[in-house]
Amino acid sequence: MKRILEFVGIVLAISFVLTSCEDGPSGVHPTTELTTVARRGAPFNDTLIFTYTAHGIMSGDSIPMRPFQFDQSTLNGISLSRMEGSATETVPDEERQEDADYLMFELPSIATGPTTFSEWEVGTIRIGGNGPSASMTSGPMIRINMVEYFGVSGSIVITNVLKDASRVYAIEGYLSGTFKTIWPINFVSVGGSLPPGFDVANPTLVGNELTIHSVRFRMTSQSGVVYSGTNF
Amino acid sequence: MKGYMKVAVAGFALALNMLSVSAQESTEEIVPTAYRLGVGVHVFFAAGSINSVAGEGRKVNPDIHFLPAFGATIYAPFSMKNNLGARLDVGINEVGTRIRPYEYYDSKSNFEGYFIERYRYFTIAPQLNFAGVTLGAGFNFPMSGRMWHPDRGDEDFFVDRETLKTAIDIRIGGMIKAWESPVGKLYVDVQASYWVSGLYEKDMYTNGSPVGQYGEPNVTSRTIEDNVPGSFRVGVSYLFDINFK
Repeated sequence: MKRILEFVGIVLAISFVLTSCEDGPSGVHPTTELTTVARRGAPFNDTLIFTYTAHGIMSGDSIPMRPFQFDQSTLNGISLSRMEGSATETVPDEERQEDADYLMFELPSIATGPTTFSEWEVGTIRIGGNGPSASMTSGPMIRINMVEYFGVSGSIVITNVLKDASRVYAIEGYLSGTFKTIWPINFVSVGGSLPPGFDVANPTLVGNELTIHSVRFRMTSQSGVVYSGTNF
Repeated sequence: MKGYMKVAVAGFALALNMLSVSAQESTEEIVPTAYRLGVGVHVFFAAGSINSVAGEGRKVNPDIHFLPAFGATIYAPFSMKNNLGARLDVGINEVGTRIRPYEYYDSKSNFEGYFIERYRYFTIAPQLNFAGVTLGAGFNFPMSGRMWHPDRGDEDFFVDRETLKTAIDIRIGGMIKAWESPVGKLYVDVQASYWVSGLYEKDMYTNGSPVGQYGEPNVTSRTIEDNVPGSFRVGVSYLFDINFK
């Protein structure tokens, strides 16, 4: 009896060792393709190519997909947006809000090869007449449906860099992680009131959380971003 | 899909009963003199599983995978005179599907491109055995979820475990005694299960959102489907006899 129970116990223990867990979100989600090639048959007989600068999966109350079409290099980082300029009047309200979405991130230095950035830091949080505002010292921020979320923890993984001796022309990678708003989304300040947990002397993010499940991105720059010699 | 599944499960149960009866007729019975509790291990060698609900603009295919479940088994017969009893499986359990996420995925057409989803659970599954036909439920606690492209090794995504819930499956199957010795019994196990609860928390399935034929979000529809798999698998269990006088 004892030996049998020992045997069963060993089997269970080996099972757990063999099936160790890996928790996400992490890695590249296979659905987030940046280029879709559509070869259409008759009567079209043509090939259509759709290219995104970023494609990701956001989580909040739900997990919708978000593609971004436009990219721009910033000081040490990348800005990706859904639309260039404002949406037209013919776009439904719901879609117009999505058109104002953007994702941008700052890196300690411009990436010149495959690497991982997991040091995310929010810059100074200020309170002005229009409410609080902030930027990232290092790491990503994202605006979805007119709400800004700041990166709290996660990683930006650079998988490919196209460069020459002095300039970077393209960066590819993906990011996953947890983001937060400064104040809760539905909080309305009345008479200067502050949301619970928010300290003016030492302001921190006390708002809603958002999980970015996998945003694959690609930034290209025809003129290149200088990474050696005189910077920019 | 659900109607087909019911018919398939009923047919499967009938076939199992016939198999079980014939297997028992051909096996020479060792008549026990004391109450025997069975304690041992189970290993399922292969499984086929598929999500029964595809999101709008998406399709699914069955996923064939190996070593989908293993762990410990306890079998408590209700009496020594007939083949009725309670079985408890505790261990690792996997389910998956192949998903074709949109029509032109992977630079292919007609939904030919696909990738694989696989979910691993720690499962506690109480079942009843009626003369070789088992009926029960599995309570599955999420361990991990993974999605990957079969050809592109860098596309390997691990699911946020907080988006997965404790899933319940109902299962019907058979434990057919294949070999018996004074030490214990070897059973051939077959099992069909349907994950009635789905796998994800509400609206948290990344491949459940509606898309167009190029993978673009379908903004006119906001329905996010869950992953609700059905699976079929084959394996064996060996139960040592523990005698009580």
